[in-house]
Amino acid sequence: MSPKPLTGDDARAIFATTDTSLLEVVDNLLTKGVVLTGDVVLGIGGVDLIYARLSVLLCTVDRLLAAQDDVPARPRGGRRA
Amino acid sequence: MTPEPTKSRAASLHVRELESLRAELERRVGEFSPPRWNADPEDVQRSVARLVLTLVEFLRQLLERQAIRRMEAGTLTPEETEEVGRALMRLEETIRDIGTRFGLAPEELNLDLGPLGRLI
Amino acid sequence: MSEVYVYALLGQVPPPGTGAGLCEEPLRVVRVGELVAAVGDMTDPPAVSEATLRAHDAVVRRLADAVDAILPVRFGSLLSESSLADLLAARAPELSEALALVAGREQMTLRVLGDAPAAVETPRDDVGADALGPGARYMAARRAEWRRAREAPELAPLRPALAALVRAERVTRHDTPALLASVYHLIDRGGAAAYQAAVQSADLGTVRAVATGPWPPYAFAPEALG
Repeated sequence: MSPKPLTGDDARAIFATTDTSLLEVVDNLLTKGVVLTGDVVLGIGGVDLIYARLSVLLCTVDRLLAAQDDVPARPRGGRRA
Repeated sequence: MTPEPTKSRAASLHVRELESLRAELERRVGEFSPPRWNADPEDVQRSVARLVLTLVEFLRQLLERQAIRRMEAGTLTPEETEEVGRALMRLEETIRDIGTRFGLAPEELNLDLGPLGRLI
Repeated sequence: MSEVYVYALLGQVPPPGTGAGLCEEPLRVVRVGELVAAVGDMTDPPAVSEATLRAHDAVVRRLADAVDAILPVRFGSLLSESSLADLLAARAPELSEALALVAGREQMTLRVLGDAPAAVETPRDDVGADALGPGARYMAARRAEWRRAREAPELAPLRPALAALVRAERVTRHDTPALLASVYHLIDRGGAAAYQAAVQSADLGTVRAVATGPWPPYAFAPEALG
């Protein structure tokens, strides 16, 4: 089941708030924090067909080389995407 | 850390400012619903071109950003800076030219990329 | 298939007594080297609502109160335990660095409000522009733009008072009236009152600055491609 996007009644309720602490919570939780996952929806002609949840790994080359020097090789059978 | 954030004697937002914050968050959070790509069956070529160019533009921006970070860290030589800069310029022109051939304006290459989209 | 919902990355295993997760599920940890992820077992991601957002934030706060260093994870992060372990292993250096930065610290969020952004000064060329080739000039211009997007010159009058309090800063510019920029400051835990006093006593001319907090350090996750 794909996560429900922030639409409809819940979104309206959240964005209709005059409670600034809720807006701060939205800012912190939905636009900040460590990003571990992303997702994408593919379809044809307006019909959503495929939902893919991705584990996000983006690594700069210099970090990658440093990590390879320090850490023993891990088995690379992981499902990364 | 206090259990809840305290604002007791702090200034609060005026209505207009609250509106502005709300609009900005709505805009940014809205972008974070899953990005979608739909092939238009009436014009598959254009859909494919749009997806490909958008992804290339995304990668171009990613590379540009990393090059800038290396400039900030002082780990890019002048020769490398010149070479990377020329390549990014040409990549930008190429994307624009191919886009024009498919009738795609630069603003259309904006497939929102969810949490990744805010990397730049 | 059961996956794990990740609340935060920690530098140590939290002591017992931090309560349950946002779906009342027990909290447990996934450890990779020095990194500890605080997770709950879940099969489906939670829907986004005021209740779930506040519940997730409450979990993060309880964890923050129990440990010295915490990196909050974005809401909605559900993945397999093996993918999580892979990510932690691959990103260990930058995550450890970020944990070291936020140890013993918390976040204040400062909204910079006004009608117009600070006037942008035309940057002086670092080296004579004639000496640079077209690629280098392009990169210089891009870099200047990148820097401008991460600066809050409006806060200049506040800098002296903040210098003793702010350990790190992140800026997001909006440049839309009335919200010009959001500035996130990392301060030592317990420093919120002093920070608020500094903000309120500063005269920023045509702009206002409104601070909230303290918060767990959501804005100090390692930058993507750190």
